[in-house]
Amino acid sequence: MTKSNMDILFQLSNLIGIGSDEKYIVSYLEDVLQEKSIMDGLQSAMFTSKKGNHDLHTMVAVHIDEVGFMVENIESDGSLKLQMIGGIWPHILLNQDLVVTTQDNKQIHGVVVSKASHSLTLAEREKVVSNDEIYLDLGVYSDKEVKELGICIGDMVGFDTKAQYMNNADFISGKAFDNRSSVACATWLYEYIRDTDKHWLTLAATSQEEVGLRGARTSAYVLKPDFAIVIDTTVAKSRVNDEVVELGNGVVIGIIDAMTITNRGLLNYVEGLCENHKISHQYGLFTKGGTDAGNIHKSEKGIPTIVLSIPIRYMHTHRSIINRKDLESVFELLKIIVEDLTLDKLNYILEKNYEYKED
Amino acid sequence: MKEELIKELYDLPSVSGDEHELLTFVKQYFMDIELRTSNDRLGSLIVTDKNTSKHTLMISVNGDEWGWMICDKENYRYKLLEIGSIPTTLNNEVYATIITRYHNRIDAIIKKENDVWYAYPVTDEGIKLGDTIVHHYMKYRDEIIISNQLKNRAGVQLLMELGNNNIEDCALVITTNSVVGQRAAITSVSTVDPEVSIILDADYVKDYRPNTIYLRYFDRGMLPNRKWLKVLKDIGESIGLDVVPHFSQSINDSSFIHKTGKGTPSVVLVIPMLLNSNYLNIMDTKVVDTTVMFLKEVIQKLKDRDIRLEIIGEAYDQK
Repeated sequence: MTKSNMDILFQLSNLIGIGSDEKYIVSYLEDVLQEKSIMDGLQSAMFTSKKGNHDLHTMVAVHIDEVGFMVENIESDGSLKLQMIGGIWPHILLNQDLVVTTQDNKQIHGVVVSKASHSLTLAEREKVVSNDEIYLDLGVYSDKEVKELGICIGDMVGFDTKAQYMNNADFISGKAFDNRSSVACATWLYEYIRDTDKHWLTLAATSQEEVGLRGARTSAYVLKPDFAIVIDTTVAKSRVNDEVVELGNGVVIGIIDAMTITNRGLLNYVEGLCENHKISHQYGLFTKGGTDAGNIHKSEKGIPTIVLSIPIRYMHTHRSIINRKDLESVFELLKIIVEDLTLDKLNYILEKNYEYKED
Repeated sequence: MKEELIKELYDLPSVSGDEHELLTFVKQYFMDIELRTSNDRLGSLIVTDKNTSKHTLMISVNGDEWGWMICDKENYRYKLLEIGSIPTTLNNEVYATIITRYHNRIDAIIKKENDVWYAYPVTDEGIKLGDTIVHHYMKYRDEIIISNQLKNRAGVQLLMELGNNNIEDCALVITTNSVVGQRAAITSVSTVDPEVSIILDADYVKDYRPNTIYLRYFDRGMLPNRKWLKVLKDIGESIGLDVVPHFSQSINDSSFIHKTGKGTPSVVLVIPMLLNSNYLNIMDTKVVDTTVMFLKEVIQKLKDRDIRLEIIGEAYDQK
């Protein structure tokens, strides 16, 4: 993994891009890839390599939005009432650092309010604060100052976290690794394809996944690809999460989630590639969540789709942890797939289904 | 259809997402009677007559079943995910079959312990995460079928019988991925693009009578097109069948077929089951003959009609 690849990962993590307002991510990708994107009606951004002699058009879909908040109201005391965008457990928000992005791109920092422990009743100590009680303290005297800062209702608010290596440099912590870690992998792949002309590929940086896989629907409709690879993250084992998937054990091959069941032929194909090329891998069977594949695979006449995931601890919080070895596995597998798969081979895999064996 | 063929049909595994073995069997049957077969991109099987030039009518049924999938190994047992709705009346300990990656069979007992299903196979060899598990029961005697697979197999059996007749301008479809959310209902209707559709659904009928057609007037996923409903009612009565309204709180492929794309006028045709049960049920196979006779007549009567124009009127013209 090169230094510049990791720079891309860190930059993507640090940028703020809440559903429907992902412009900074798109600008960054256009800058890194030195290419202008094409957008669909929900502002998913698409970058397409040259078709050349390739007959198989692959969509690599990675959602670029992160969970966050919107300013719902400016209270008279200068605090901001926040509306959640995407699924966040309020329990993890108290006293966290958040940052508001104003209409003229200023970043204003604040702290989520919480009661001092001394003031809590016994009953309050046992409760989780509700979604309706999330307020941001900006450290001002009144709403007049808030307006002078340029903050408006509707401004987006994100976690104020910077990515960093942990005590073992294989582990990296930061915000929005769901799904910027996948965006990083897809960006590396796109650069690789463009430099080597090995495949006809669209990097689809989809919008609004966290609020219902919306940009996946529209971008699949626009692109109508022959095949799709969705890269996302999946909940991994931790001290408090008893899951099958673990950090450092490699790319997660999706078998089933809340919205998609992977085609058995494609499962055998991807599993076979990993075994033959000795790529560390594990299996995704987490049915409490879904990915963009949920809307892509059943778009119009159907799009054969696989899901590759990166294990993540503490998903949808201000600080998640991933392992760089898992990203390496994802990237290696992606390169092998795009170098190997043709339209004929894809159709053969679909025809053979569970009987397919990758030699 | 011969009894052996029917028994083989009911024995094939077809957990949602893993329907290929069943669909291959059915596809071969249709090819042997010289019908044309193809698939949509989610694997749904589409069957047409070789002379078919357009798809006036789509008749569909889901081919997948509820079951389990192996999601973890804990020492000597395997933890399972439920796929689709496992019947509430199923015992907490039953015999089952593990279907491995390449569809080898491994016998197992599965047990529900503290609300979680576990499999105890006779051997570990060849088992992987993602393998599916089925629990099948079927008895066929004196033209009566008792089975826990009637919900999907009755309709497949019916389409296979129908295929022995003239099905010109009709597409017979067996969908995948239905019990997990009617996913291939979307892709199959997008691929076939019919003018009208009939969706088969095996369901309990109170006061079942022979020589009767049951048309669904309400379920949780679709309100039928009223004009198409009347056309079908008139056709049924014209050949001496009673046509009875049916109401259900269930949901099926019709919920997406009717509202996908530009929309397709749709009606659910019920295959009568004798018990109000979501596990084991009873079907008198004479209902297959009655329903096939009705559908033959529908296909024939649609030949010289522009049915979509009759029901919907002129199509929207963007120009």
